[in-house]
Amino acid sequence: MVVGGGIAGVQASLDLAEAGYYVYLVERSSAIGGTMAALDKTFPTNDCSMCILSPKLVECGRHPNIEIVTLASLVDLQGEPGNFKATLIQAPRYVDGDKCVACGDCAAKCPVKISDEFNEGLAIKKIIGNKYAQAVPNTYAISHPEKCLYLTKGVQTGKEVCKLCVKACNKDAINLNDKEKTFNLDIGAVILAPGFDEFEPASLKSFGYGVYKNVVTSIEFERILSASGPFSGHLVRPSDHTEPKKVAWIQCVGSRDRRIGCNYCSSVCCTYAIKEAMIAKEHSATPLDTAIFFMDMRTYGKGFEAYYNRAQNETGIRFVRSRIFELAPGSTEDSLKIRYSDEDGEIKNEEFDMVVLSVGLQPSKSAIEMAGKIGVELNKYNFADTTNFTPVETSRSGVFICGAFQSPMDIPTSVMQASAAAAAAGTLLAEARGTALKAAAEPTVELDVAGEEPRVGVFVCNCGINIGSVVSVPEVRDYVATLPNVVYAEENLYTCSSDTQDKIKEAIKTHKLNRVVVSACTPRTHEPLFRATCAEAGLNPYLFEFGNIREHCSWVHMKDKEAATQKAKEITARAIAKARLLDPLHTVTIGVNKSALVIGGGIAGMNAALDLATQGFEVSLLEKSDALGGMARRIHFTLEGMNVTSYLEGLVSAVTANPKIKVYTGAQIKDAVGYVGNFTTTVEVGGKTEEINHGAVVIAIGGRELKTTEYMYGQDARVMTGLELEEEIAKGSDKVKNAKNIVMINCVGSREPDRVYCSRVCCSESVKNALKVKELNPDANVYVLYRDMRTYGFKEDYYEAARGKGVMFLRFDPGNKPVVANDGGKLTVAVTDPILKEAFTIDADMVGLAVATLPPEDSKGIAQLYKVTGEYEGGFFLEAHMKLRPVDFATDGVFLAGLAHGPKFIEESIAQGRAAAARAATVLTKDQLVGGGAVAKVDKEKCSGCRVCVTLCPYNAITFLEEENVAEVNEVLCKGCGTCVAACPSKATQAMGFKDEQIFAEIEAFLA
Amino acid sequence: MEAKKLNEVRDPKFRDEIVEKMCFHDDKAKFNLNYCLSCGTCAAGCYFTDLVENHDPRKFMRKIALGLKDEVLNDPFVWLCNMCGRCTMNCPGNIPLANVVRTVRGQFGLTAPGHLQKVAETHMETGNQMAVTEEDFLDTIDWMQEELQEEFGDPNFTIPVNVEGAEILFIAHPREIKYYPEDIKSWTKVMVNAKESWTLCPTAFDVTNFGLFNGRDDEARKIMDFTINEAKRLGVKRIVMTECGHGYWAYKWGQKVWYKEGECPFTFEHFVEYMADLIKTGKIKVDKSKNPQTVTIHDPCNTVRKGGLIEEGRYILENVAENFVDMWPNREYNICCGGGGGALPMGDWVKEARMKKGKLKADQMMATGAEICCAPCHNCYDQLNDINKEYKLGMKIKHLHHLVANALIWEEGTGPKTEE
Repeated sequence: MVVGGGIAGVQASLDLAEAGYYVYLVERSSAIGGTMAALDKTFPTNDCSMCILSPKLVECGRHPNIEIVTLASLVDLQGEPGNFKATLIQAPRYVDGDKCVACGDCAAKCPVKISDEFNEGLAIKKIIGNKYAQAVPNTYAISHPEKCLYLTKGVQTGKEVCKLCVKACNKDAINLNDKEKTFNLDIGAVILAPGFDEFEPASLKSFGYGVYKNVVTSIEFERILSASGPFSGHLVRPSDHTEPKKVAWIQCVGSRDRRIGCNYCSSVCCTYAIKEAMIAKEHSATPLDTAIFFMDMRTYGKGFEAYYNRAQNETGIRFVRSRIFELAPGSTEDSLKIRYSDEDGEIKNEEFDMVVLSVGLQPSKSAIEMAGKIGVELNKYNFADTTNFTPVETSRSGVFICGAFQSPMDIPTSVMQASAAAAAAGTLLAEARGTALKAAAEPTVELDVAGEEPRVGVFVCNCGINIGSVVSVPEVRDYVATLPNVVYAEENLYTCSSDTQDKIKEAIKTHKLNRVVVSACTPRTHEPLFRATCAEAGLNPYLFEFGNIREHCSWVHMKDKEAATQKAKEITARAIAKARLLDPLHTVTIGVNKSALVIGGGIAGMNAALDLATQGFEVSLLEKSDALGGMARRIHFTLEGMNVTSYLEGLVSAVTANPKIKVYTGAQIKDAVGYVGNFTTTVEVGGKTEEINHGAVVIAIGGRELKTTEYMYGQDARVMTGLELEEEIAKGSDKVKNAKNIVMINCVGSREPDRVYCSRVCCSESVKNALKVKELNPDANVYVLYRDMRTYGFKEDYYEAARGKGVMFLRFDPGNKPVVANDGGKLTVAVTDPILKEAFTIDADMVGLAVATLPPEDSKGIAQLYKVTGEYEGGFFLEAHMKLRPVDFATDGVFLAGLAHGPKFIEESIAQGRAAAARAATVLTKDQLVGGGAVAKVDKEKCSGCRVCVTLCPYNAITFLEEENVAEVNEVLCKGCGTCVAACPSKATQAMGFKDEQIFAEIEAFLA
Repeated sequence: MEAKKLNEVRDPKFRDEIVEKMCFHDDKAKFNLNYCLSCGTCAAGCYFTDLVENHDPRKFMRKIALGLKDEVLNDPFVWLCNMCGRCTMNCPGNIPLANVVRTVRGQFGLTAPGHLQKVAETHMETGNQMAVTEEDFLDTIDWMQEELQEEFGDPNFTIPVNVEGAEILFIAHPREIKYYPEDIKSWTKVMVNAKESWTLCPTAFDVTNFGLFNGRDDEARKIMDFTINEAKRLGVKRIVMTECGHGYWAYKWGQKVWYKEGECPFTFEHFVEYMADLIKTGKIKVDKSKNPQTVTIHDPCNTVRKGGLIEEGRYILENVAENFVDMWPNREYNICCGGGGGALPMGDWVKEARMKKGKLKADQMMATGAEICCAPCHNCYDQLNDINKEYKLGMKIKHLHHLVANALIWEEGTGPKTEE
């Protein structure tokens, strides 16, 4: 059972269902989607949140082994891990999901209007309706029965009051006699993913939230920016709906505040504020002045620092290092004045048209209540209590945790944790895998359309306002309806939403469509969805064609609406021209070798190996050095005080003792061939080579510590790296015990022009070492010189504890770095205090440098072997999608974990290692994988046997049949890239779905 | 300028020393000065940061954080700060800056500039800060009693003095005895109209306590003892005090920090909360048409921000005046008048700064368009009068009891007879 239908719960459900478990996805509200559904865009890619989430929601909704239980709360949990009895209370929906088609007739007649909670109260809606337009399940509900006229007055008086919704519904879907239900479910494991509550800023009187009309929370601002929000994405301020010229963001509202007991950092607000400011600027017709008031800019995630730099240097967002005391009325109506002290100590007064409060993340109140009922312990801030080494385990065995109820976290971390929690649950229930599945729905019998005249149906998407505000979508629709073979055309607000899928299926039936064209966004994310929709309606999925009128049109021709509309017509006409010539294509299946290869024997790799082995898969674990352990062998304790050495010993012995894991140390990879389900990797160990066959690969080859030349490192033995200092501390060396002054310098080699990224862990590592020094030697003066303290989440507590123990923190700018010198044998550090503007020198006994975490040396080689990208920020591996696929590669069957993905803490490496195992399990669980479709085929009659294609194929998918003297394409390996087609001198090779005649038709349509 | 050697100029224990010496009524662990993030909230919260040299609370805290003890002890901020507490209202580190300043003033061997220390010493020597003798006190009370007898047409009217077993001991400001005896009549009328059981005491009548300003807790306790000892002797239950801000806070806070539990078994009521309660409970009845002018109120830091008497003054004015207008910012977010923290007795040294600060208050007052500005605090009252003069505001500065006394509705046969 997964409790909570946000992105974490959705991901955990999908991973488990794909790995052979039946999943109940329990959601408190009437639809899944969680917070992510309410966001406009997501950082650092600025992807439309709904656009990337919607396919996952739809997948969840249509998965045969996921049962979504809405309006339900978990109230009791009896029994043991593997055999729980869960009690749920489900509130009445008053609408029958089997009958409702979400047509809106009931809502049109309903007389009761309420504040729209999904739109943060910025709009009103009817009491009966969807939680949001793209809701899954797409069934209406009466959201506030206490306000329904019939359910209150009618029931009280026994009279037929109102009931307009019942009269309006043609489907007989409304059931006002629906009652609350209590029921039990037998389950093996529980994953909690209940999410967070937004901090309620009205309690901070000085910001005047609720008093000043143009002070909004960040989540309200997301709705203002959103195309599906109250202002259709038009950036206006609430008081008078005029466009603001100046907007300010105030950070740390409800975070990092001892006064109100929210000492922790909410981890996500710095980056989301940057995102909101960037998007606001994009949405603004006139130049918008944006300022973000912050204390420490915490852009610690993958790609975030580059995003921050872009915000500063390219988009011109102003960053002001100052915490804000209060908001005051400005000189014009409903504007706001901010009085602040900049870091130079100068007091400034600035007026803004609108102020956004970057509210923090609070533990969900309902989750706190649930935790109490099922016996899950909470930490002092009421988030679920976990440890560094068990990041997804709660205090109750068999109950796992992921997402923001574990600690404030961003979407990729939530997704990673969700997969890790799925791995944990999967490991617990390995024996029961496949036993509770619903028989897969019989595939719809495919319609035979061979020889039929093409009947094309066209669906043109507004994508909220992403397309619709630039391209005249109705005009495009009307135009394409006139084209040959088009028998049906319509426009949609979101063509990808669940209700539209039903519409498309309906249209295929009603209009006897045998070709479907969607003109919307990118096939990269959405083609599988529409193909599946076609297949469900009985149409061969390859009879579908996509036109991209967003990326190729509305986004790039934002300023010229007329030309954009014309181009959209042409793009759609192009797709139609091709669709007319499409053939049905069929997939092939291949068997799966149910064993895994894990490359890298560090913490991430070992966790991945152990999870896979416990789930019953054979694992080969390769380690290039002589011993398992990786970087963690040099780490002795965590910031939170846990003993890494003993954890590592335990992990190594568990791995080596596991009969399903074969460990290769001193191993070198010589070659790798194959594809998902069927890889062969050649390994050399001690001069001998061995071939390992496996179905999936986890790349967890770690990272390195930078050897810097800055700050006299290498010239003076008293200057050492953070790990070297940790070694001295762990030894309890006299150097540490007798030191009077120890200085630590952060950001050494990170956040520099030639190495842009933040190494994420160094701030906390310096704090950790500082605290340990104070423990060993309380009288030592410890100085930490930093640029922004990035102790996110609960790590802020330790930053605070270090200050509390007297550790002195001094900030420096990159233009005025500290200077380490040897002054006649004395080691000195020169630094300027930014507040007093005074220069100081510190006589230091030791200097610890928080050096950058480097990518692994051999990432490029490994990347080439497994056909993945290993050149991100100097050699980190690049996952399939930064937001929603953090451990997958674009190449199927290859997964990613640990430092090789980017700098991270031990608990994050553990979670990611386990997440990679969960993702690999979704492959290894299956007996057969499906390939083929839009791939290349060789016409043996035409093939001259020149072998050009064999050497050019980037996926090693073409073999040469010596006997027949022709080339042959392996349909599972082929990605349909077309290289061979272009190269073939005899025109013997054709890419299915991209045949010459089809492409010529497209070109002609463009030129017409 | 050559860089200072931090190892030589820094006293790393200084921060902890301040906390150790700090007088608290709360858990000390909550107030760790090391939690300061130098975030700048305080610098923006204080309206004087950019108005007066050496007035940046963040810089002051930063010097403390760095352990620059000598610089801190010689920092003019120590005495320029009015200890109004606004800066750290929203402090994320929960730093009690006003109390830090008080501790540095009093616990590190510093002597207050101007007359501040002298006033405290006079109080300790004579039982009141103006050395008013018992005889002078009684003479003044007799004089006012006579005037009231005439006003009431009641030759037997007495102002109660030294009445053992009275419910309330009323304590005044010695200025009222010495310079503003009309005030005695004003608050006496309120007490009489409410038919309260009360008394004055010639050996314990001073509400003030400059031990709050000079930071010396031993002196503060000695000063407070005069009242406490006499209150015990008289057997009163409640101590009601005239409109004095710092005195009120000294008693309220002092009860917790300078006395052990049970040593000081009285309730302390500022005249504003006391009068608001009289109106609320119907013990006095008032007629707001007696005060037809436009009236505003200044919120004294000690009663409002620290003492929490936020709505009481407004409640009174809404009942006793026809046109009440608020100034902005107000309530706990008020701006200090500029005279707080003992600035007035510090004399010429702070005069210029005091008047610069007062300009903000002058602007606030003028923006209301009021004819009268009430200040339920003697310190503020003086400062507002100085402001009034300096910036030629032409406003009347009053205490609240002036307006209440004027609005009292008397039962038939009681009260002033002059109108008939």
